[in-house]
Amino acid sequence: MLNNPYSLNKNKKKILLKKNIIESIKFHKKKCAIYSDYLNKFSLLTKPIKSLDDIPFIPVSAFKEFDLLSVDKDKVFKTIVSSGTSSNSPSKIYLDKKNSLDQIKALYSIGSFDLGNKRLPMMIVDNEDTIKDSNHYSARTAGTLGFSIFSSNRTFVLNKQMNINNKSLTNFLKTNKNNKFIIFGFTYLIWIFFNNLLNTKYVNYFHNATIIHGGGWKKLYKLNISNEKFTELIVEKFKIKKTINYYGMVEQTGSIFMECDNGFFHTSDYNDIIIRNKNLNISKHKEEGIVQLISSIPSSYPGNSILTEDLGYIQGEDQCKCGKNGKIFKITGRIEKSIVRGCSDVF
Amino acid sequence: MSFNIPKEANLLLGTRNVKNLINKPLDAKIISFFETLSKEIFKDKITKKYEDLALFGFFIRSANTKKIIKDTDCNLLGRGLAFHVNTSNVPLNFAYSLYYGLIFGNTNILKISRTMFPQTTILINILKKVLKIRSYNFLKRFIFIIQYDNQVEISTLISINSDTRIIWGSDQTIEKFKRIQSTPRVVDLYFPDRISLSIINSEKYMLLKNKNDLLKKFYKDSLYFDQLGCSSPQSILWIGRKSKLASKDFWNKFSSKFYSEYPFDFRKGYDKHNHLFKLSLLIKEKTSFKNYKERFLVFDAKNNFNVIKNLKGINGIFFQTYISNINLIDKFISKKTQTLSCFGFDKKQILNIIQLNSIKGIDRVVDIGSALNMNTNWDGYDLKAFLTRKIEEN
Repeated sequence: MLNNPYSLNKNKKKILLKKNIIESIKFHKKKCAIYSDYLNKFSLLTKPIKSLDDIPFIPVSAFKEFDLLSVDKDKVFKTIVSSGTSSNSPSKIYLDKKNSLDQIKALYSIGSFDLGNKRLPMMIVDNEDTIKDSNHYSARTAGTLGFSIFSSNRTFVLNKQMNINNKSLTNFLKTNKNNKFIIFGFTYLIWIFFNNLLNTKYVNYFHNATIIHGGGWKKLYKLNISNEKFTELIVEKFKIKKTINYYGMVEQTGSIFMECDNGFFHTSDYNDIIIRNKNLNISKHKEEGIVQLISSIPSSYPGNSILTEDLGYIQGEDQCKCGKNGKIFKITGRIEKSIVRGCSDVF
Repeated sequence: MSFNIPKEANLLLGTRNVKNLINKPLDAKIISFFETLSKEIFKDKITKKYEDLALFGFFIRSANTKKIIKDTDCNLLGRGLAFHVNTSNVPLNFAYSLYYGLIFGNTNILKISRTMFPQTTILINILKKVLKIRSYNFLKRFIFIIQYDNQVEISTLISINSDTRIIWGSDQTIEKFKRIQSTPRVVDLYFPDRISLSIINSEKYMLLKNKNDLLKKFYKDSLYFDQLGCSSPQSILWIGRKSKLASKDFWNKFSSKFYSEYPFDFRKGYDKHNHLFKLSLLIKEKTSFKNYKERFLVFDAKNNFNVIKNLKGINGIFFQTYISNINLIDKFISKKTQTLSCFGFDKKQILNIIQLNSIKGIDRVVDIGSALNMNTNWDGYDLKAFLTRKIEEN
């Protein structure tokens, strides 16, 4: 029986997810001194938590500037050093074995709901080097390694110069002529890849593919390429039936958000989203604001509730025509960079 | 004696070849240049949008410059090549730096931050325009504005050729430049990170009929640069028996008045939250705070001297405490303290307290409202003395 990671509606989530998160936070408060300090100084856990909205949150920058972990250093199985999508100093995420495994389980639960249980051949629109260092990585690496769990085998079709490796591409397409397969890559790279294949013989080889892409539209926005233009290229020219955009953050790997057929990202039983205004109060639905992400997965580091530097809005909850429960939302961009880096010694 | 600015450096103004030329300080032509620059700044409609640009325009008027002329010392010359390393957070820091360097007769190389504010670009364009005027053409050889990625080789090349180096912080930048090779006779001026605060006489405050004026002045001092200037007050010391009352009244009025006026956006909201996270680790004891109108957060430092001495806010995070009388301020001052802006006190009395308590901090005692005003005496240095040299003649 296929498990349904979208089974909890608003009321059930309020009870179950909330319970999970509170337990997690209390654990982190005990074990992580920095996190504890923060909660104490602002008396953040003194009032009763009535809803997920009341869960205290920390800024994503905290992971860049501090070592936030709730386990002893010798229990750390993996340290992800990730620069995400910006060129700031990297976030450090400390995972013990359990957390690492839970991330994979969550990703599998969420992903298989849309992709099915069967492992499929995967074409990765990237170069091999992206996954060479499994400890130091970018959002691209996280995505590639994560989604590889849905693959029976994987082929990288870009060379080191990020151009199409014709040999790899041809081999893959020949082998999988009559098979269903998955194409995975960063949104921007997928766009370039398909543009480059437009007037070639390859146009007819992709109708059995499902594309999973993520990593943001920022670059494409800059080039004036909309969701519509993207879909037009992929669906109309290459006859690809299914494209799924995903959204996530390296600080909460595993509990990602998948886009449904109606074009919205969905929260699952593992996570939730809250939108805040510039005063950091809760925004109404359909109002653009700062994205706060909640996840039940982080257990070795206090990453359950994070204020990101992304902007987005919530369309609704539990009402999506696709039938999945959860909040449906869109990401609209990133908070504009601060022009000022401060007198640098702000303390 | 000349050298070339390496191609790795981006040249915003000036040529690559730099000759170390000197001029007579307070040369009439240079004063006239700044007067013309001032007029051009005010001609430009965009000046209305940037208050600091207008402030600079005002500052460089010949009426102001003539105040600096105290002695007509004919043996005074520019020191030579001044290398200015400007801050990344105050848009027109380079402008004031250039002003002093130029009027005191130096050739100036100004290294500015790669990230440019609109005001910076606007002013550089106006500079270019004015330099095209024939009578000011000659100044093209005295002004070089560059950007580079902190390559040690470039910093060293310029340092070796410099007679004065003016490093405007951060503390890290200063440490870096201290280690960069220069010459035995170079004169270094460091403007490291400083912290500033205000003191308010609570009884006098409560008696004020027009409190709005003081509120406006404090707003100008603190939030114009989002509290990021070294002279921006981070804390208020409330002095006297009406301190608690005055503080409540002040912040209630301040938050009502400036809630909409203070430009706020997602970036400021996020950065403020991030700052609070960092603060929570630096504040040793539980400190109470109040969030006025959810925009202005004020911490009550009580007796935590270290909070007032060391901690800064941004985007509307302030600190305060109450003390019974002004003689007790010394515990809240350190060498890092630069500007003490005040209301309701006799400045001479404050100077007395500084001397009696051997307080090494505080380089400026000004009225609230004047914290950000630039002066020839800055951070305890007489800029004229550092940027000129006097030839001894017997």
